[in-house]
Amino acid sequence: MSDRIVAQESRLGYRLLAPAFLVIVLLILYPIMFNLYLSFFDVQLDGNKTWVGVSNYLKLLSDQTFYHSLGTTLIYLAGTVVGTTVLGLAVALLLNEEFPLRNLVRGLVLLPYFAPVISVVFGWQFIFDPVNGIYNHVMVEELGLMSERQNVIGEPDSAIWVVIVFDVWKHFPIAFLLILAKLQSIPKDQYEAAAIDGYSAWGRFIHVTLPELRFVLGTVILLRLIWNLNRFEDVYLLAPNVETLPIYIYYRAFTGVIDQGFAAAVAVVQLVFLAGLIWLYVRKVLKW
Amino acid sequence: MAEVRLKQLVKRYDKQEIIKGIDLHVQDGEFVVLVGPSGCGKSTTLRMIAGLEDINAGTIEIAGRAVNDLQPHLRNIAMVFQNYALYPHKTVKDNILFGLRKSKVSRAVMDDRLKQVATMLQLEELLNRKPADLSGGQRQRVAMGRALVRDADVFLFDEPLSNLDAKLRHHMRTEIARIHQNLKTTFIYVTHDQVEAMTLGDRVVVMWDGEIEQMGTPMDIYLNPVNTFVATFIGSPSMNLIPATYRESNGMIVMADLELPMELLPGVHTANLKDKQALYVGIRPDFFEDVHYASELEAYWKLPERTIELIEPLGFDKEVSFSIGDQFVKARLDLRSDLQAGNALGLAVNPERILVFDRDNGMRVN
Ligand SMILES: Nc1ncnc2c1ncn2[C@@H]1O[C@H](COP(=O)(O)OP(=O)(O)OP(=O)(O)O)[C@@H](O)[C@H]1O
Ligand SMILES: [Mg+2]
Repeated sequence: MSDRIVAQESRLGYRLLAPAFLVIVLLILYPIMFNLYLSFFDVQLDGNKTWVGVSNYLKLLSDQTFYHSLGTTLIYLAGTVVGTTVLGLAVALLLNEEFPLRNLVRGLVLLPYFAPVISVVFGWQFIFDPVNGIYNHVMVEELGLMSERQNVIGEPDSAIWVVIVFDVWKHFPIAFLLILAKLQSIPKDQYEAAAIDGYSAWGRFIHVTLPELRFVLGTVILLRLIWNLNRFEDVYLLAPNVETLPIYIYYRAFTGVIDQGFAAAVAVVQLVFLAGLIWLYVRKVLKW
Repeated sequence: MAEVRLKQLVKRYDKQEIIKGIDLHVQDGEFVVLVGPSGCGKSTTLRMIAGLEDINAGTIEIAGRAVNDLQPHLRNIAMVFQNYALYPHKTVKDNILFGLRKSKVSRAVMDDRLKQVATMLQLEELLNRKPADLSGGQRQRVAMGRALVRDADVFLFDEPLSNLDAKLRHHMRTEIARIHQNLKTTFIYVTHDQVEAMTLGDRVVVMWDGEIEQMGTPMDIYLNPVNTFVATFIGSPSMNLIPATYRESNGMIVMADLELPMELLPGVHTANLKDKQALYVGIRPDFFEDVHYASELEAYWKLPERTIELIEPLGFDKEVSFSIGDQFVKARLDLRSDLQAGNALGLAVNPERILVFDRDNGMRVN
């Protein structure tokens, strides 16, 4: 292409991007900047602000509840990301094999992803209900694995596992979908060559499938990290006592002893993590 | 080291038989070449031996053991794929060594073999590249290398030289022959190329439409084809098939204005012919000789003079075309015969090299 055509195309590109860019500035960049600004103030309920410098950040660094929330977030991220990736991979491998009604099964597997959060959350809460829930019934009466009924969702320590399992169940289909699409595009002859080279099914998985899935697995892991670092509604609706960062921020900003400056500082910390992940995604995954 | 035995091997795709019950016994250490037109089932046969396709009927034995249900990775076979099938994520070096890594040979042996193969295949400069950055011919050589480093019982080659230029192909042909001489392992080799088949094979197997038409030594196939398919498929330029009729009354085979006395042909018995039987007379272009330069012509069949219609120089040889009746016939003469189109041509043929086929079913008449 000549330079002129390149110039024309990039001008067109900018023009096409402009509306989206404007929306991003208004809806995302402005709130981010404003949040950053707030984090240096002590914000009163009536809207009055006093400049406090970095004292919100200092307070945060010495606040046990912040570290607790950070720990909860890490467990939540690790559990959900590993869970969805492994489950998505396993189901994708399984449904990549030929069997009758395969397409129907593939469709059914996607259902949790499309179900509205609020309706399935009620279902899950009912499952773990201490009095009427099937979980306690099976564990205590049927199998006798637990000696007495427990309020699984009521206790933050056990509730986080419910939240993780719920998220894995709800979001593994997207991992499944991305991985399956890639699996289908791996040329058969590579498996044949590896078989001839003496590699069993397991060896072929390690040496042919996994390298081919590198990009898509990286994408799944990082996107899931980014999404779940921000995830609010699933956690809050299912078990409001599981305080991941977004929920912690919400509590500090809008409930109890309201401290929006402090909440803004926590949000900035979250933003830094997020930016790190996005940087990793752009630099590493998109490069492969 | 292993012999390979195919017994009544059948392959079907959706009821259509692609391999129609072939029998083939490849001796331990033998070099067998499968040739045949595109789509006749050569690759399918190789892939069944390797275990990449399942078998609908019959058995495959490797080293005396039926392997029908043995998975490919347990068969200890090396194979060069027709479409290379290289690992795109691995460098050339890792592609080549991948099989050896599995068989856990020592580092030193690996380095040694890699070096040997890389030198032989002229891959030294390319060892750190990925397949995507190679030309077709280079990829093909990597595929060759990947097979040749292995310590396999049987080596399978599916047209391994098809994408190389003439010079490299010649070089590789010699190399393959040498490797086989050194390894003395069982080689089964598929090719379209006449010269490869003739020069490499201890035995050549000619396939057509899922069946074996003939097998034998290259010379046997060349000199004694069992039917017109083999006769014309093997040899380049292809054998001349001149329509003819047998005339019992005077013991002559008549081709338009030419007559070939049966008494000249030691290999054909009149008892096997009927009066007025429609025949083909088969003569390879190479077996025509210019009467000016041939010695010992007594026993030869001398053709009445022909007129040259076309000359195609090929360097040392030239192809000279003339007609017998309506049939265009080619003769290959060497450069001593200094001829022009329009000249008269005196030719003779050793009668032992004249073959007779039935025109209806294409089978050889002895
Ligand atoms: N998966 C398949 N499904 C249906 N038919 C097939 C399949 N694979 C091969 N065939 C058919 O089997 C026949 C033999 O194919 P094969 O690849 O063995 O031929 P080939 O002799 O190796 O030809 P070439 O010289 O072109 O490589 C062909 O007619 C082909 O169309
Ligand atoms: Mg083929």
